[in-house]
Amino acid sequence: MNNQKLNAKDFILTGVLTALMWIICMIISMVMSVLGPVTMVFYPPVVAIPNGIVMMLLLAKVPKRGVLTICGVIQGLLFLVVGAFWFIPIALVLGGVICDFLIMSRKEITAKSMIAAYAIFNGIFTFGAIGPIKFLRTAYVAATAKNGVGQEYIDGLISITSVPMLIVIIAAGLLAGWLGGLLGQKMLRKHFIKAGLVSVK
Amino acid sequence: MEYITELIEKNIFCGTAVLDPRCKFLMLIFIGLASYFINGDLTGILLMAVLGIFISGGNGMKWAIKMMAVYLLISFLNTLLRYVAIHGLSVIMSVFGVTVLKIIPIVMAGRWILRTTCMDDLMVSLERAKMPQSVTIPMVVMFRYIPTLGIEYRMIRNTMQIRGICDTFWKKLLHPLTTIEYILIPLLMRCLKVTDELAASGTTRGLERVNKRYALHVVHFGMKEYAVMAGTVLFLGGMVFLDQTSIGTISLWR
Repeated sequence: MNNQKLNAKDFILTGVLTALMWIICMIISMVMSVLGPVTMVFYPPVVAIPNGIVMMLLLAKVPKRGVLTICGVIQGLLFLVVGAFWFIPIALVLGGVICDFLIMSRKEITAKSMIAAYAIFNGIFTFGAIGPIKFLRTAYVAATAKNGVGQEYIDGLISITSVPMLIVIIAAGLLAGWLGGLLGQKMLRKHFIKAGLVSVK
Repeated sequence: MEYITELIEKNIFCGTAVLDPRCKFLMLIFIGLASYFINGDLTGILLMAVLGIFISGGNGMKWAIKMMAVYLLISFLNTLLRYVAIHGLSVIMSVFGVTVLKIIPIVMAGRWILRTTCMDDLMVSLERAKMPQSVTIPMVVMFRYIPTLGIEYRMIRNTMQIRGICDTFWKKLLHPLTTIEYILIPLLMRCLKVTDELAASGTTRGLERVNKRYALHVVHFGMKEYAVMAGTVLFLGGMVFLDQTSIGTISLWR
């Protein structure tokens, strides 16, 4: 771990993989929010599973401080451009910073710490995406209703985000982050480490 | 030598397309923010029309007309489904229609910006705005890479089809994890390869330089840009304000 500073190659890799992650996230969230309020609430956990593979590759390839923060900032900016509720970018950036410190508080970055960081990052993202429906209800409902979304849909959203359900959703986010991380590690071992492209301790 | 200089100096973009990249991206962010608040039929169409005219002034006429047609069609269908109430379908369609209607202006402006901005100019202009390299390089690479991802994806699908892997809808639906693996892993392999090549080509051309950069094209946030920004802010503010008044509730399709 001598070379802690990020160089141009790391920046480029982060940019490319973040673009990929964001597109996967957009496609899945679009499909699931169209299907109905019940699936809409559960989109962050579903997104976490394919994104886990990408994120594990990114962390394995660039095990340095700042990667998660850059990733969170860029995804947050893109979410802002697309017109998401402003809570999501804040949660993404905060999650990135927290997970960066979590990973970097250790000397050696192992597969386990990567999975833990990804799970927490995803838990915070889930909270950022779903939390406002409960905690900033008036603002969120006003913004959504003004957008012309059907009243039935909003009622569905409100009734599904009671406090116990919210805990279940965030737990699902954490769990899905963990599962996505495990899947990512499995894929890394199966394809990338065998090909000699990356190495994980 | 003469020919090369001529080639470099010849600018294929004209009109609004030669505005400073910073100005264009700020515009995109403002449009994104405003599009979240503009919901009326009339105001939405007005926003699209003005944006379309603006884009037509800079090498984007065809694209603007295409997006405008799509917007009108979806707006019409969306309102139609609100009156012809089909249980279940109407709710789904309302969410879908609203999401698409929100995103169309952003996609329209975004693709136009991607098409008419040289990434070198973007890099220089972001650096002059005192952004750190850790933000500029991923940003620039990302904007460059998003269109490429589509091409890569199509190539992978073709290869899969030739070999008969996951070629039917049912196979995809029954084995979601396998499908993800088959699509994502080749894509990631490609990403790694492209990254290596890009990094080599970038560093040899001085991507990591920390000194001041110079650009062939004029990159300057001047009076024109300030005027455009002021116009954008005033127009979008006006639209949001109009949306609050009774004009926002006028329904165009009856």
